[in-house]
Amino acid sequence: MLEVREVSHSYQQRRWFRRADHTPSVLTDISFTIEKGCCLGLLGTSGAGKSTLGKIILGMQRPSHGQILFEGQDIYRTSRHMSKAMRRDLQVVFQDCYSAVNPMMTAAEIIGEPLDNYERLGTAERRRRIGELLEQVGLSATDAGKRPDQFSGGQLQRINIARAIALKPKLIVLDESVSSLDMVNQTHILSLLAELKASHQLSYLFITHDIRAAMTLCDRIAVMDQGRLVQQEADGEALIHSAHPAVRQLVDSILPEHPANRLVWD
Amino acid sequence: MENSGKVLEVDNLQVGLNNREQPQLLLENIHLTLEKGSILGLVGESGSGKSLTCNAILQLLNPRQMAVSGSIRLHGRELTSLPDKEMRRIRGREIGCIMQNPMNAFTPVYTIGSQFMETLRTHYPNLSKAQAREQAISALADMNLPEPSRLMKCYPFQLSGGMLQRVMIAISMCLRPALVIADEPTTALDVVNQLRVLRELHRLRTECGTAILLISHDLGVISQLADEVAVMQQGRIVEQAEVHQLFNHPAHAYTQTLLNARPLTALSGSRHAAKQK
Repeated sequence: MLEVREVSHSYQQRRWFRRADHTPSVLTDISFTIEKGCCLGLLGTSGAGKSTLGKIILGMQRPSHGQILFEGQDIYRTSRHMSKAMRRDLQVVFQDCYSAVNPMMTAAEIIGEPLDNYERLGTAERRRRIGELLEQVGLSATDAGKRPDQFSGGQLQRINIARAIALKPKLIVLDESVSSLDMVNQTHILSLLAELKASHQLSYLFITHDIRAAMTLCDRIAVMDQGRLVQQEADGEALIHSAHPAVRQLVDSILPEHPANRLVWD
Repeated sequence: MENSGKVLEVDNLQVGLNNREQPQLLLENIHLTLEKGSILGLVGESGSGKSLTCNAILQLLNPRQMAVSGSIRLHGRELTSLPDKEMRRIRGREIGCIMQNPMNAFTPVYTIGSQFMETLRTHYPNLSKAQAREQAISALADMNLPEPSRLMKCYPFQLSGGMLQRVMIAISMCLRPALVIADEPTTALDVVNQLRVLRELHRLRTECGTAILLISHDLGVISQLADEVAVMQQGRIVEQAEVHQLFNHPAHAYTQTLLNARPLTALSGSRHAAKQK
């Protein structure tokens, strides 16, 4: 469904009266595919280029080289920006749930905005859809009038998810969507995402640095290091026993979950 | 004073919201004790009052909005009745603080070096600039940061989050405080940087004998560092126990919920938490 073909990218620094000098490349020769109903985990340390790749796939950043094919169509080919129809099928949920919403808008307005942009709904129908979406993400329809400051982080992330699924997209980019939540909320949101994936036939690109979160949700995990795709595995176990130094570093940095298995540091 | 066992004693701390219509109790009956060189972990989900407790200890709550009662003693010295000027001397020098978001803790318009030296020279006014610089560089080198003298000239936005967090630890360490309050020190970092920061905190405790109040919602962090754990829920400490005891035999229902919310997949074969929900 989504095909990333040999994408490379570097942020060019514009300098007056000087030629753009050597710019380090952020992404080098990335290729992968995501099938319908599948979840690809994109794993890496900060600065590995995960979020840049996410932006490129969402059509927010044209890559220096390479193509992004969404259902066979190059998303950067048609015009400067993606076509409106294509944008409908690609949605995103960001890490920081507070800055992803307008604090002046109510939950109903936040979730209703994509509906207003794409579908002409009557007042009653619109209200019904919003209530339905709120219930799908585990909130109640009575929360529709609340504003972001009345929700906790986990609840607000649910509203972000409701906004993302409002138009029944095909692919959602989850850019560190659970990283800033506490463990209890993380578990809830991960199981919600798994449920939605099954019921809506959604595909995810799940960007994270937490291999355990990736293993619970993803069908396939790709590891990035310094802009390169270093390993791609369908099975998380294979990653844990991987020999690649970048993967090893990620795996070895995971803290044990019980004080009896503490890492020894002296 | 330095060698007395107890560094921090918090007794019956209560924090209420001064709200005329509906006064609200935010923290209730908080008792905490920290010995020299020990690490107390404070866990609980967001909104349970962890950060409020640390702000209350640092006397950073606005008395117009919050009513604070109870006693907070540092080396036996009562902090709640201290005048602002005295308290300002204690903050930083005797109680260090490491904040959650390193990006917001620094001023973006000054270099790391000038902010570091400012901290040093505020607390030691007769330190010359050159001496302060020297101390700062050696503190950064101590923290395993590469090229400390070049780092001094960098602006905060030129460093990664993990590096900034280590700079912040270096700043709070170089004044040799008796107590460091680390409020979610690794939440904003990726796993690799998290490990580096935790290792430095561990060194701070073993080498300098600093007591650390470690606030986190990540039980991995807590299980790695803490000696004792206090579990908070809705402004109350519901359970407090030694770390092994707490992980093996959680007594309170809420602690069990927290422990069960650990990542669903356990690594390296031991699949003790396959599916919890």
